[in-house]
Amino acid sequence: MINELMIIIFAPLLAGVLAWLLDIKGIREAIGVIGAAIPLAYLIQAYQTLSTQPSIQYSIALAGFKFEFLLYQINWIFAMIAGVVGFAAVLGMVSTAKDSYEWLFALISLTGVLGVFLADDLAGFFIFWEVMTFASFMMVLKYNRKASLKYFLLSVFGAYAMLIAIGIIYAKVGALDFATIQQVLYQDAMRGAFGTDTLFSRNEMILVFGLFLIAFGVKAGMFPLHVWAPDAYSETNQSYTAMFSGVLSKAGVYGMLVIYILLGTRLMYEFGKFGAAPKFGYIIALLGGLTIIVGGLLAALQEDIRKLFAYSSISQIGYILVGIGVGTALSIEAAIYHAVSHALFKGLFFLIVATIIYRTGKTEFKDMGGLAEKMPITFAMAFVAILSLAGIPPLVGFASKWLLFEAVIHENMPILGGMIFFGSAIGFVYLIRFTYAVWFGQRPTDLDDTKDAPLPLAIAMGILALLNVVFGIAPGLVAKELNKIFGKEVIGGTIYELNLGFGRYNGLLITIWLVVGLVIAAIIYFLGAKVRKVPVTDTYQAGNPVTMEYNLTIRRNFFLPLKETLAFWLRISFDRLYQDIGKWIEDLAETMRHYIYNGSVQAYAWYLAIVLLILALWGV
Amino acid sequence: MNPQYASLLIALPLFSAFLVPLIKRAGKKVILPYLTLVTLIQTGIAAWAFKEVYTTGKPIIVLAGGFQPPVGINLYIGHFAALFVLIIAVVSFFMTVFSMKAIDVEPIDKYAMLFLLLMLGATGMIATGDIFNLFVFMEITAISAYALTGYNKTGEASEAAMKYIILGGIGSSFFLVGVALLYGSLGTLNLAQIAMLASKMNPTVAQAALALLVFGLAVEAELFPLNAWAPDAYQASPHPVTVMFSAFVVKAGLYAMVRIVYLFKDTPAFMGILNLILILGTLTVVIGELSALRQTNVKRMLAYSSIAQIGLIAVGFGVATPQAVDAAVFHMVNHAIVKALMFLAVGYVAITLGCPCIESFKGLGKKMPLTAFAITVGAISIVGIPLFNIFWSKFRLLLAALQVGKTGIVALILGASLVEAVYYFRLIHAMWFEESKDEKVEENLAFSIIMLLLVALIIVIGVYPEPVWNLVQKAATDLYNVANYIKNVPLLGVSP
Amino acid sequence: MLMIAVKAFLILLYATFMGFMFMGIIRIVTARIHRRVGPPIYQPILDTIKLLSKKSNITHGLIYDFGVIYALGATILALMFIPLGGVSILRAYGDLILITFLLEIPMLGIMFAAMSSGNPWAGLGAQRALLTLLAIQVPLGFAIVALAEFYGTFSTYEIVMAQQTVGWSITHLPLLLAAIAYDIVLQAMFGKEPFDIMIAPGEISLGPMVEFGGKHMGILQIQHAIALFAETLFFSNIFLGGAVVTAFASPILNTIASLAVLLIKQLAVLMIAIFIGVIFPRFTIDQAARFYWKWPTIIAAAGAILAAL
Repeated sequence: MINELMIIIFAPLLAGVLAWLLDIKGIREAIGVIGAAIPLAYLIQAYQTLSTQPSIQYSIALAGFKFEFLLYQINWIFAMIAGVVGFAAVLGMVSTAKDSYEWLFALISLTGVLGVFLADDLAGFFIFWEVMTFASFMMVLKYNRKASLKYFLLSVFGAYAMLIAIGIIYAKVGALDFATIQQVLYQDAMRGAFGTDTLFSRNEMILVFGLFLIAFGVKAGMFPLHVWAPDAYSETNQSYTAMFSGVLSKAGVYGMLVIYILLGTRLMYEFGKFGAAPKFGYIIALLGGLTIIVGGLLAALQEDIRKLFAYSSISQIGYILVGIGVGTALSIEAAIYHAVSHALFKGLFFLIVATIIYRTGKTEFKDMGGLAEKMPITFAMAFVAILSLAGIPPLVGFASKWLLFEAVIHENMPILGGMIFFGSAIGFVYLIRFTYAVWFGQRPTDLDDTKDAPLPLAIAMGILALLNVVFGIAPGLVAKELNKIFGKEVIGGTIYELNLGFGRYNGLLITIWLVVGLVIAAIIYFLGAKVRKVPVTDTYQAGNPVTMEYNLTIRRNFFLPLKETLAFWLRISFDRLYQDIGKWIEDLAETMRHYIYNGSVQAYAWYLAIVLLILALWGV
Repeated sequence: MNPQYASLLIALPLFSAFLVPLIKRAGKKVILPYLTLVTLIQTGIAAWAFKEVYTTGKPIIVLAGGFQPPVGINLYIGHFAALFVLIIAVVSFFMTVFSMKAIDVEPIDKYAMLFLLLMLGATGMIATGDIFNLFVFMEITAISAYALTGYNKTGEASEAAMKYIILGGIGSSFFLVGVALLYGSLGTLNLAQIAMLASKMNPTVAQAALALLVFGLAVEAELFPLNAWAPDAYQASPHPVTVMFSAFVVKAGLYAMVRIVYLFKDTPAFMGILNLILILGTLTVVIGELSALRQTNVKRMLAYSSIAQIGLIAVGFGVATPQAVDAAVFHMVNHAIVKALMFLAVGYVAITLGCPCIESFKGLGKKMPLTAFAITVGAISIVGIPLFNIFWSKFRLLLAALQVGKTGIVALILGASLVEAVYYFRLIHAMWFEESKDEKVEENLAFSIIMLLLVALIIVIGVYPEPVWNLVQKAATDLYNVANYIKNVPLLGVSP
Repeated sequence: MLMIAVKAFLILLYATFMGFMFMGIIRIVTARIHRRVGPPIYQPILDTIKLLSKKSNITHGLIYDFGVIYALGATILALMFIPLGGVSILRAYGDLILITFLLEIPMLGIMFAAMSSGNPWAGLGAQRALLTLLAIQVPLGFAIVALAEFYGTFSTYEIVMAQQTVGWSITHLPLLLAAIAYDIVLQAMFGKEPFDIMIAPGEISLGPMVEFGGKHMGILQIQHAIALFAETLFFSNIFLGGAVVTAFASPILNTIASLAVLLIKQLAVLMIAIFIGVIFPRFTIDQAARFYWKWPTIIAAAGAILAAL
């Protein structure tokens, strides 16, 4: 019997290859959906197993490595994110994927990310990391070479940084599996605490931590390594982006947790604490805070619907990083909770974007407007997603954000507190931009016969929207699973209530009272006289009626004043910096090649002479 | 079968090469099929030798004329040699098939002869157990390589061949001086005996000899900066020959270098030379990759890339821990497979569409889907994506280097690998996502089969590296474990 | 159950009424400073009744209606969570962060409704309102952080109780700073000068509100009244000690007394806002943003950092 972990990881890959080879419309879609459903089914089944035993383990020897896989509480949660959002994204792809190429790589990347979550040794972790990166890169390459290359280069840069870190650890510890590394580093911290010589020097710890930070920071889209994300997220199949942003970026987040798991004690010993947070974590948190702000502000200034959500995605990941960085049990739980809710609402958002683009063929705000009437189902989904992202109770986005706020502020971290407050407002700001430009106002006449979402997309959105609501009203469902990570009740309360001791939140109560409020308001509303519907041209126009020929909507530069306010800061661009470095290297390479391989045989003969000279100096 | 039949590996191509003029009388059309037949037989013999070595676990020692070494010259077909002789034979066989389409310049009979000699030389370099014999085989390889480089008779080709001759010639002569030094101080030319006596040698002389040998072989092994001839030669030579250069000629040179250096494992000179190889290897990688970055000629780009990969192998040998050598040998095998595929496919595109420049590759996915697919798989593999063969060897190699604390070198190499990703993915993008007006081309069945075979190999090793990894480990042990090497050769006067 | 319903109803009624009174007071006081007579204090109530009883109402679709209802509903929701002397029902859940968010939600409903009308002025107003929100968020956030850090709890009710023993929040330096910042923020929350660019009376005709009329506007008036009450109440609770009167034997008397104490504090908050509003001219949106990101932020951040130490 093949191990269930292997099925979870490799089912999408197999399905992808099959779909690619068969390439028959209809069948490949079916195979793809099945391929994404299998891991989900097995993961749900694993929940039963995990309630009776702490973990499910499997190992396999290949090419001289022993690959360990382990499913336990933390990565079960992450794998579930991948399973659910991946499944929804694949459903969306039934409508939007154009050829078998996309099926192949979308499913491979699902395998990659599942592998990353389930791997219990660094070799396997790295390999699946690369698989994931590569497959998602191929998804972007098809749409845009420049964006994809930027993504790939930064990702591979990160991956190589990770490889070096892994190598350093391997050289010192002599093993790659998590358990051993964790143990050795823990003992090393103990050794240090007793004043004996440690295995790793201080500089080595800084190096390893820095390298891991780069590796995971790139994937998570952490400032200032985020520059690939806006382009890559937008330049691909938007159904796939639901998975790309919803799940793949979580691999970076999960990586940060792996830092804690493997190196946490040792790093804490070496660098100490800053307030309640470990110092190394505080670096992550600060970068996360900057990510929130930079991502959010840039999101508000975008003119392309895909870019807006790409930046928004970056911004939201910032929250998760803040939570992880603060490093208390509560804040880590809050961060994982936000990872769950981010996956749910951002997955939903990108499916909505996919639907819009699929139906209208447009991506820029200036070409859209008034779609709410034409696509009511999609708009309803968007409504849920907007409320959830903006952190409006009682949706899941609020529950996780609330936890995060409390967790961070309770640890007396005023700067981080300010940053996340700002982030939640900026979320509001760019969401309204999206709402206004796409759904409301005057509709360009060429969108008059736009249809609503196709069935597979509608189902996919429905699944995610439902979860957004359910986990919002009953946040305890998630909290219960999160508590299992630490094996104690970090977040108290019932399934409807989160109780931290210094703050409480009850999703159900909010829902009930919101309904009460709405009912009261509705009563007042219906007591009034009947309403008459009027067209968009029949509005207050300072006395002069207008026709559809007039442009009634601010279609471009909606937040122009913000742009003006930030003019100074917007001139700084890490994207440009990296591009300049890239160009500089390319020029350097060319110049060097020109002089070294100059084609003159005399020069080449001189090389021989020089080497001989070096050899002579070497000790002859 | 008598193990001595393994000498056929040398005898067959040599003899067949001299038969070519006779065959020519039967008509020019027969020459290439004849070539194919010979390489096929050679493959058969190599496969037999391979099976023999790997089932018995003992090397085949062929004693020329029945004289025991060090009096007689011996061939030593150990695990490493058996593996590589097989690779040489198989690649050569594929290339004869390719030649049928790729070679239309006369004189075809000379081509066949040189082709066989090149194969012979490389086989000999790997199989021989005698350092002077090694020199002879090296010269055979080199001279046929010079000639083949200039075979196309264009100005470009002549110039490339000229450069190759000059640099190769200088290299060879220094090699010979090194051999002379060794012989002068040890009185033997047998590799096993050299190894045995190495520690008794005057360290200064040993170092000098070693330095000269390494210098001489570095030209063949394409280590920077002695590889300046290589891009030109790769670009100018006929496509099948380029494949052979990249797949095994350069590796034979590298092997010879490593074999000789490792013989001196217990001498003080060893570490110094290793460091030198390490530095040269790193420079080779970095400069090779950077040079490839802006190439518009795909064949030349591959040439630079090939150089860079060789540098990586050299780094592996320079690290010289058992793990690193395992990985380096693994990388040699993988690289042979992938580069054979790449140069074959690119050569095929070049002869079909006129030139190996990037314009031909635009929209190749529509024009020649299978070839484009093969190139894509090859490129992805070289970049080091998991589930493809090169990933494993690269990964292992870098881990091995990191294990001994060569963090800086690894960082440099990885930086250069980033560059590799850039130019390969540019190529992939050009092939699949850029438009071209040309019509679809009917792809040759034989080539398609060869390419698919290699692609399959890449993926199979990538997904399940276990069998090849086991082979490779044995081959690497053969290289690394010098004591065993000495023991296996029945030296006269030394009781086994 | 019934008790809760009755209580909630009474709170709602009281808040609405007081809110309207506040609106009336704003108009009177402003008029007096302008040396005008001003309307009677109950004028806003009359206005609202007039609006609600209009015979002809127009709509721009479902969202237009729903947004308005949502705004009022959410304001009522927010009100229930703020401690109101001894009577509030959900004060146990009156979490600082939750209330801060809840007080912002109604705006979302108004904006949805306004933008769905397709009126360009509404769009413009929404943009300005959002940017104002963004501008105030930083000092607001720091002020909340300072409070939570100082008291070590997020429960508004517990903060009120704590103030009964340690004295009003504004008597402590970190919280005084936070209160100053929050008060400046409050100015924008009320939509008073100098931060009233989002409605810009007389220029873009009430911004987001421009398209509303009839019962929609009436509901928004009610919403505005309740919001005014809730915001002043929240401020009084967290910074001005709230009101916990236990002097009388009868709980009803205690409640009335504490309501009275609260009312005085709320009026004080309101008056400051009116005075500032009348004196200052209007900021443009980028001026407002730069202002909020400078002084109030620095003050509030100083408060937060002091509180954290």
